Amino acid sequence: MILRLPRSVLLSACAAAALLLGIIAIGVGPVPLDVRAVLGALFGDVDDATTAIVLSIRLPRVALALLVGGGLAIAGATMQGLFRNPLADPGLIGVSSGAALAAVTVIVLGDGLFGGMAGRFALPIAAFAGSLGTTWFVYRLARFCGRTHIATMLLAGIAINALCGAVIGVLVYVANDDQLRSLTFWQMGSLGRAGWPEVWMCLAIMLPAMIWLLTLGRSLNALVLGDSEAQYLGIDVQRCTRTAIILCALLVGAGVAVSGVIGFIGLVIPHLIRLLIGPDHRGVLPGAACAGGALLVAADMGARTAAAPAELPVGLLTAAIGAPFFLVLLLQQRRGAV
Amino acid sequence: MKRLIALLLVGIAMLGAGEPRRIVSIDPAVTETVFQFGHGGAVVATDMTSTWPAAAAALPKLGYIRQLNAEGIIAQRPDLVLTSDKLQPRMVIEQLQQAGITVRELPGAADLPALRQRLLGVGEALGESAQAQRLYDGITARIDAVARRHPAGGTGPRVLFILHLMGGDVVCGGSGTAADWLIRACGGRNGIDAPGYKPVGAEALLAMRPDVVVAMSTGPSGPMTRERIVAHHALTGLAAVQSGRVHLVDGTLMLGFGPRLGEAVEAFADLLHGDGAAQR
Repeated sequence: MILRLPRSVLLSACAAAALLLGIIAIGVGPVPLDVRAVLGALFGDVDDATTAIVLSIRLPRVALALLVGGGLAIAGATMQGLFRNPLADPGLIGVSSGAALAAVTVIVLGDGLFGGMAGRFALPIAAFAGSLGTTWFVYRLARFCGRTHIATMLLAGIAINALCGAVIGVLVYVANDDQLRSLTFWQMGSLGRAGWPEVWMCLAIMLPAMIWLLTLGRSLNALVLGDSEAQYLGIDVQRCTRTAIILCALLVGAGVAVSGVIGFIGLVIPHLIRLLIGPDHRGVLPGAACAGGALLVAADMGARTAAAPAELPVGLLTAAIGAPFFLVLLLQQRRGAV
Repeated sequence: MKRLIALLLVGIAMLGAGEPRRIVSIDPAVTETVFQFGHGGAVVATDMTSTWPAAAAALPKLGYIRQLNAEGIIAQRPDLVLTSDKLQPRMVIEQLQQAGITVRELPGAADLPALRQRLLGVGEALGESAQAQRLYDGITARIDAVARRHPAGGTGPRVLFILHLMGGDVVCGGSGTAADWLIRACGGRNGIDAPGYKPVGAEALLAMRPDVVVAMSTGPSGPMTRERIVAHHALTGLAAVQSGRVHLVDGTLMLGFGPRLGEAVEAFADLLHGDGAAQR
């Protein structure tokens, strides 16, 4: 553990990185803009094109990347603590598959169900409802005799994921070519589909949920020891579990709803932070939130510029940027242990 | 002297006001139409699938029509964006308009009413309305002539239209597809009833007993060849394949639903009925 840094130093560094990357990302894109043009768009008078680029294209994307990245990472960290399983990610409790099922339903059957009334918000709202619905179902399945059985929940989640996968398969089969392509791109994840209304909706849901999760750090630390041990330490295990699951479902549901499925962040960012500052959730949760936001901002910057003027799916880049970094940390840790 | 230059500049600006000077075209059929009207020189960038004519293929590519980003388009500094309703994400249109760019969105469907609106819409945007109407009338005249020779709904040849052979699957054009429209327009009968482009099993193919097999010459698994079709386990037993009634067609021409549709229908009718120039 040669690399372990004082928690406050690392947390400040993560927050600073997220902030700095956010500022850089506003200045970077296929249209070259200098600092003066960006500041002009933010505070003063410049031409319509520059204003539109900064205010209605780049700024909402950066804000959304920070929010969604942070939300996915903090939800992942919580899940890993809750399930006492390093491979847990928010997808395990059905959040992502429920959202995907709802999204596929809207894309494939939307015109038939709503007669062409399905507007811009039909898909995100359906995806959000789908993710909450499946999570609630998985949670109900795992709750009996007044207790939530974590192991049952894991298995129920796997079963529900398989079921959603099967229904998605059927819908994909009946989909036409256009719907299939929309679907593929939705599943690859992108921050390019969201404007300010989506950002505000996400902010309203995700910011309170993230702040609430941050207060659960101590309880999660106790839960890692085991349910009964946590109980002896004075933690209301049932309430804590329920709260954590609801908050994670809200965070991931809102994120998936506006940006599709973005992998890697929820699974690996918490490990990365744990490698750097140790397993204390009071550090891991805020650290993961900042690092997740920073990584998604960086990945989205790459998605917008790497193939400019075309755009790459951001999901491809989160792993491409994050995985090597994670491997380096693993190698360093191994060297430190020898 | 200064006044003269200013006058000259104003004059140029006024001349240019009627005609867009930097066009971004996002949709293969729309791009073909712009080039058809002789405005290809003003096109500065297109989407990935706009590959005809060759001059359009050589232009900078802005990505796939369903995965676009507004800033990439703005970076080309267009004064007109021509596209179809296939464009995704929809927000891009709003963002372009906020940046002060004129966007003309046309119907993208594979049928005649949509083609008409597409041609007339592009014509109007480019100040070529008369030419657009002439082009559309010419196309429908050619389609009608083919339909008179080979009326639909009769006992025309049963056609199997293969989109591609991927992973051993034979993916065919069913009802509601551009391929289906083309087969009917040429008096043929589509062997596949199911909607959309779907993989069809070997047994169903045998039961269908197509008279003609048509395949796209390019596909996601590389260029299609006659040999690949003849050697395919699900196709090799078909009478049409054994008697050599296998044809490779250019997908952008046949399924593009652009200004070359008249040409496409005539060429396809030739393939189905083998009547060539003799009856024309």
